[in-house]
Amino acid sequence: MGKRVGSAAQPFIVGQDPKRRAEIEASLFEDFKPKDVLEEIWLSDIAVLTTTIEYYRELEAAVTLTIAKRHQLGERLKLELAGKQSLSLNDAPGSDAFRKSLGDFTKTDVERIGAIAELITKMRRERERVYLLFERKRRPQLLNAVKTAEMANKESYVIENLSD
Amino acid sequence: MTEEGRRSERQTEASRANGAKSKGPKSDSGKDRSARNSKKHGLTASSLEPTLAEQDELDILHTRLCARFDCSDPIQATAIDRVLTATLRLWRARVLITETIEDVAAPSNARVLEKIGGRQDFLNETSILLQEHFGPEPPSKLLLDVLAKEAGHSRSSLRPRQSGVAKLVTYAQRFRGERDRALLRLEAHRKAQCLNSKDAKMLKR
Repeated sequence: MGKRVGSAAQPFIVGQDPKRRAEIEASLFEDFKPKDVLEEIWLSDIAVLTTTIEYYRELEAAVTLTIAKRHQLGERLKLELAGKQSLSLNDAPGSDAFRKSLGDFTKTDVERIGAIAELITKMRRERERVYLLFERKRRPQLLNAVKTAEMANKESYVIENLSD
Repeated sequence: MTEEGRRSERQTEASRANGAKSKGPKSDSGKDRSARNSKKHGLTASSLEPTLAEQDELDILHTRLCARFDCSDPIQATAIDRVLTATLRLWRARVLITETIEDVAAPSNARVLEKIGGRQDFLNETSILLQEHFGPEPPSKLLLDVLAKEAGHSRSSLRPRQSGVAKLVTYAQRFRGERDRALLRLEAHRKAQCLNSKDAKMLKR
C-alpha cells in the first residue's frame, strides 16, 4: 500500500492547525479502518471539514469580539472589572460589559456574524453528505457481515460476498 | 438612410481615428494577458496549474487511484482525471473561502499587510522611475493607481470579499459533488468489470 491520501502536508489549507487535522484524521482512520482509496478520500475530507468548522467557529468569535470592541467593550470592561490588574478579551465572555456591547450591535454587524454562522451550517451539511456517501458504501458490507453471521451454520446457503 | 440618421463627417473621422488606435492585443503574450483581464478567482478556468504542495498531494491521490482502478481503460482514466481536477478546484475554493473570512475577522492580518506592502513598494518604485523620467514634478496619484492596477495591485483586490463567500461555497459544493460522482462512477465501472469476469469464469466451467 502506498502513501495514504491526505497524509501529505497541506500548507494550502490556510489558517488551520495541521496538528489538529492530523489528530482528527488519525482518530477517524483508527475507528473506521478505511478499506480502499475512496473511503480514505472521504474520511480525509471529513477531517478537513471538521477542522474547518472548528476554525470558522473561532473566526466567528473573533469577528464578534472585534465588533464588540468597536462598541466600547474595552471601556465597559474596565468599569466592570475595576479591581482587576490586567484585562484581556478572555474576560469578555459572560460579562455584563459584553452583553451591553452585544445590545449595541447594528443590523450590519449581526448580518456579518450571521454570514459566518450560515457558512458553518453549510460546512456541517457538506460533512454530513460526505459521511452519508461513506456509510452508503459500507452498508452492503455490513449487511453481508450480518447475513454471514446468521447463516454460519447453514452450509447449503451460498452467500455472495458483496464486499471486495 | 434618412438625412438625420446619417453619421456626420466628424463622427466618421472620430471612428476612423479610434479604429486606427488599437484593435486589441496582437502578440501571443498580449493576448494571453488580455485573456486574464476578467479573472476573478480562476476556479472554473479551463487550465489549472497546481502548486508544488498541491502537486505532491495530487500525485499520491493519482497513484492510489491507479492502484485500485484501471488507468489504461480510457473511461476510467477520464474519470480519474475528473476526480483530480475536481479535487484541486475544491481545495482552491476552500482556501479562498477561509481567506475571505480571515480578512473579515482580522482586516489587518499578515496576508493583507503583505498585499498592501507589495502595492506600496510598487508605487514607491514607480514613483521614483517616473520622477527620473519626467523630472521633479511628482506623477499624479491617478496615474500611479492606473499603473498599480495594471500590475495587479488593484485596491479592489485588497478589500474583503464577503459578498462572494456564498458563491464560493456553491462552487465548493459543486466541485465536491463532481469529485464524488466521478469516484462512484469509477467504483460502479470496476464492480461491473468484476462481475463480467466472474460470469466469464462461470461460462468456461
